[in-house]
Order: sequence, then structure tokens, then C-alpha cells
Amino acid sequence: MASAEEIAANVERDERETLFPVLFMFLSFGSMIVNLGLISLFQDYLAYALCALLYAAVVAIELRFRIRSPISISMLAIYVGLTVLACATQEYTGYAGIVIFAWLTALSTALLLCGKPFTAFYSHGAGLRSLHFASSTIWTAAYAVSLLASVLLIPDVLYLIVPFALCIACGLLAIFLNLVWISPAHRRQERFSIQEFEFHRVLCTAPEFSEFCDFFARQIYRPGEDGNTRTVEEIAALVAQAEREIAADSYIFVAKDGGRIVGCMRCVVNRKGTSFQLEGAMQTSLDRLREVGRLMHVGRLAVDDRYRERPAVLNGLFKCFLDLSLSQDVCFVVGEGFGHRLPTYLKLGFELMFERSDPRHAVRMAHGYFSYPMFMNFAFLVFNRGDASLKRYHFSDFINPYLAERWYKRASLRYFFRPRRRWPWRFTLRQVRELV
Amino acid sequence: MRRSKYSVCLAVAMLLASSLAAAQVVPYGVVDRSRLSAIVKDAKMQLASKADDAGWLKAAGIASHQLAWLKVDSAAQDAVEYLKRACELEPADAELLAYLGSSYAMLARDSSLTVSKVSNANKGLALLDRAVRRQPENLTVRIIRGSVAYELPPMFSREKTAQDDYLFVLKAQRAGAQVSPLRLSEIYFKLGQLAARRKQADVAGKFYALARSAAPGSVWADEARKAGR
Repeated sequence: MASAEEIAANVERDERETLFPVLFMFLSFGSMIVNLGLISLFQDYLAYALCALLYAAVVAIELRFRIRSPISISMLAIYVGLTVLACATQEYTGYAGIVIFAWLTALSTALLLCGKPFTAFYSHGAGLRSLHFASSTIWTAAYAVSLLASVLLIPDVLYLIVPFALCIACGLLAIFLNLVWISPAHRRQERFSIQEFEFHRVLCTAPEFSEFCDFFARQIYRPGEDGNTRTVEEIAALVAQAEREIAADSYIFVAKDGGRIVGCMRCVVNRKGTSFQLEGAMQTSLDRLREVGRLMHVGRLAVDDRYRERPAVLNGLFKCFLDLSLSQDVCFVVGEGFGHRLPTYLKLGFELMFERSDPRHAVRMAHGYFSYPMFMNFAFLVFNRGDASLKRYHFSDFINPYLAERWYKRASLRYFFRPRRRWPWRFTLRQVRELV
Repeated sequence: MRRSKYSVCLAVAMLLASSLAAAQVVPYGVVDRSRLSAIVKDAKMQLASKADDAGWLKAAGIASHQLAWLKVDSAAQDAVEYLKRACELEPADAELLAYLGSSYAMLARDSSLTVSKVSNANKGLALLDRAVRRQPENLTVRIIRGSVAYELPPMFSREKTAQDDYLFVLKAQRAGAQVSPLRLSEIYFKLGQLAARRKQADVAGKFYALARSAAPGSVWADEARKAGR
């Protein structure tokens, strides 16, 4: 968890560099559509001058964020040229689209061939190269097809409509690819292996569910501790009952070695109008935290004694948790850990939600043992995953870069227009404690 | 699209004055705005009682066409409306079709939206082509199409159409058809301009010389003199 100082240090960078470039995709798309629309509607010097003004504004904004996009700068030059040309002669009336698409095709192709996809200029080269290449290739293809359509269809009215429609479609496709899906990599892995261990989700209706309940009950069973007199079987039954109650939102992940469960973890995705069992145990509502960002509840973390020295087990379970959090756009994670498991949670990046002086520091859970409510600012971890200070959590090692980038872009869009003090990644533990 | 390029209407009006005045009751060649407006007003009154009178529709259409050339607001739209109805009543009349096509071209000139400009220009060209297919020997139709094609921007690739139509008129004139000197001067000048666009300076020069000699002192002769310098 970040200290107030760490978060404060990131504020300036967030504002200037980190967040805004994500919106450039939309700014660039919007300006292109407006400009194409303008020249489709009014092909005269006034329209070109308006387009030039618009691109001048875009370039100014880009420079403000230290972005130098060859596309924007050259488009500004082209529109200025078209304005001058339209004032000087009428000979080239109607050819603006062809000139623009020819230039865009040539420039974006050249940049692609040089290994510098034009979309990368908007984000200072940050982001997945494969995504940049995919987006730029799609745009280049759209420009080329638009050019072809313009040349072949002129002077039919379709020579205006088809390229415009193509560019809109391409823009929507680019948004879809960036924010929804570009490849199977955008899908959370349901089943994967690390070394000899297999990891997958267990549904409450699956035959393995009772095995999971038994395993977890055995792992947490500490006869007589915390005044809990329940047997393993009773604890397993309570766990099973609790899990069935939240089956629709629950993701149980298990690590298996040779078909036998050796580790487990359970994540609960928060749906609107529902609350976590932990909130009942704490007698505290997390609704104010929900207003800031999406919540997830993590619990039932257990690793067989004989596998505690095998990092692959915990790493695999952590990957399950990370992928789920990223795919669900989670911002904050809450959980509860037994006293003897706290080091594991802390190693993963969690912090104790309440101070020792707070009566909620330790709460008795349904299974009868005391647990310690934990908190993780997941948004901070994603936004600052490159920070050296976060390396100790080994966070970056297991993250799915496609899901992380999508999470990042979606969060940028969702929160950019909110007051900055409400950006989830800026919430310190102290602020969270004040909220709950 | 250039506003000036639709000066074809003037050309059409003047041509009609020379070659077609006897063919219709309507105001061919009239470019006097008040007179044209009066004809349209009369036509409207007549059409109020006889909405399907082809003669009055034609008169109103062509008068509106002339007014459209004078850039009177909404005249091109009126011309299209009248001429469309007239064409429905007299579908075999190629000249009406040509006027309708020319009116669409002027509607394109007056449109603000590029899509409307291109769409109307294409509609007009299609009608003009149909008119020529129907009566390929009709000089009025040829001149109207030639003038519209001449004025269109290069993106329509209609320079050859303009040249072919003008050369056709010249050929017919040499064969004995009546074409006024002013019209001839205009045609020579425009053929010269077309040659100049193709970078054929010597050919252009010859046409300019013909334009000057066809109607010395005319506006086209002056234009040819300026262009030849």
C-alpha cells in the first residue's frame, strides 16, 4: 500500500502524463470525424480553415502534454495547405478527401514499416506494442480502403459517404479493441498451470466444491483457538453454506497437485445492492468506499503446509485474483486473514484495514475464528505497477498486460472527469479508514 | 463547386434566343429579371387553375431556370419542381429534360452541403445524358449539356463531354445549322479554354482567334483576347 508521500509524488505525473494520453485516442478520433464530416459537408476554404483551426487546437493540446504526433502535425499542415489552395484555385475542388487519405495512408504505413505505430506517439510509447501495432494497422488499412473508395467512387456521392463511414467504423473498432477485446489475451484464463500445479475455478455445483470446503476447513482448523469448539466437519459445512449463499458472485480458485487441492482462494465480486459477509462481521458498511470504486472481497486463502515453501502455489492463486480483479475493473480489495496468515497477505500488498485500537481490528467470522480485515488499493497497484516500491509485491510478475491495459484505459475514462480527490488510486489507507 | 461555372444558364438563355425562340411561347433568351419574374407569376396564376398545363409548366420552369442563372433565391428549386412536372407530362421532350438537368446542376451550385452538391450535379448530368441519348442531333440539348459539363469541376471528368458537344455543334453549324455568332464565339472560347487546360497552347490559341473573329466586340471575344495573352 502506498504512503501518502508516494501518492502525492504521483499526483503531478498522473495529471500531466499518465492519464490524459488515454483520452487522446478519443480526442484524435473525434477531431478526425469532425474534420472529415466538415469536408464532407462543405468542401471550401472555410471548411478547410475550420479543420486547420481544430487541428491547431489538437496539436496545442498535444504539445501541452509533450506529445508530438506526426499525424496531427502533418494534418494541420495539410489543412492549412488546402485552405490556401482553395482560396487560390477551384481546380482541386472535391479532391480534399483523396489528398488526406493518401497522406494518412502513406504516413501511417511508413511509420508502421519503421516500427513506430502512430498510435504510440499519443502515449509516449507507453502501452502494449502489440496493441499499438494492431490499432495502427487497422487505421492504416482503413485509410487505404478509404483512399481506394474515394478514387474509385468519385464523382458518385458515395465517394464522400463510404470513406466517412469507414473511418467511423474503424474508430469504433479501435475503441472496441482498446476497451473491450482484442484477442483471447483479453479473456481471463479459466485454467492454467505453473510448474506442476494446475489452477482453475471451482463452482459451488462442481463435485470439487466439497473437497474445497474440506480442504479449507482442515487448513484453518485450530482446535479450541479463539474459543471455537467446532469440528473440521462443522467448519466445512459452515464454509459450504456461506459459499452457496454467494455462489452467483463467488469465484473459488484452487491449486492442484496431481489432482489434489493444495491451495485455495476465494474472490467475491461486488454487485450493486449487495454487501460482503465481511461487512456483517465488521458491522461496518463499505458503501462509501463503493461510491469511489468497485470493490472485491478476497478470502479463504489457504495453502497446504507441505506446499508453503513452493511459491508457485501462492503465485498461481495470486494470478487468479489479479486476472479476476482486472477483468472486473476492481479498484479496492478487502479481505480477512487469520493472524498467522497475515504475512502472506502483507506480502501480496494488503494492509490491515483498522488500527489495533479499533474494535474492528479483529472480527469473529462465521466459522468461529477471529480474522483481521485487510485492504488493498488495487487501483494504485495497477496505476503504479512500474514503481520500484511495488516490486516487493511481485505484482508485475503475474499481471496479464492486456487486462491491465484495458483496466487502465477504462479507469482513465471513467474517472478522468471526476474530481481528482475521488480518483481511487489516490486514496490512502488513512482516507479509507475515514470512509469506513 | 464554382459559382461562375453555372454561367451556362446565360449561355443557354442566349442560345435559345438565337435558335429556339420560335419553338416555344416561353421566354427563351430572356435574362431580364423583372420580365422573368412576371412570366413566373403569370404561369403560377395559370397553374393555380390548371395545375397540369404542360405549356405553362414549361414556361414557369424555363423562366425559373433563367432566374436561377441570375442567382435568384430558390429559383433553381422552383425550376426543378416545374420542369419535373413538365417532364412527367411530356416525357418525350428532350429539351425539357436538358433544362431539368441544368436546373439540377444549378441546384448543386446553390447547395451548401457537399453531399447535396455532388448528388444534384450527378442527377443533372444523368438527365442531360439521357436527353442527348434521346435526341443526339438536337443542338439545344447539346449546348446545354456542353455548358454544364464545361462548368463542372475536374472531379466529374466531364471535359471531354463538353468538348464533344461543342465540336458537334460546330460540325452541325458547318453543315448548315443556324447558330448565332455570339453563341459560336462562346463555343470557340470554351473550346480554347478546354485546350488550355490540356496544355495545348497552340490549339487554344486557334480557338481564341476563332472566338474573336466569330463575334468581334462580344464578351466572349474579349475573354478570348484576355486568355490569349
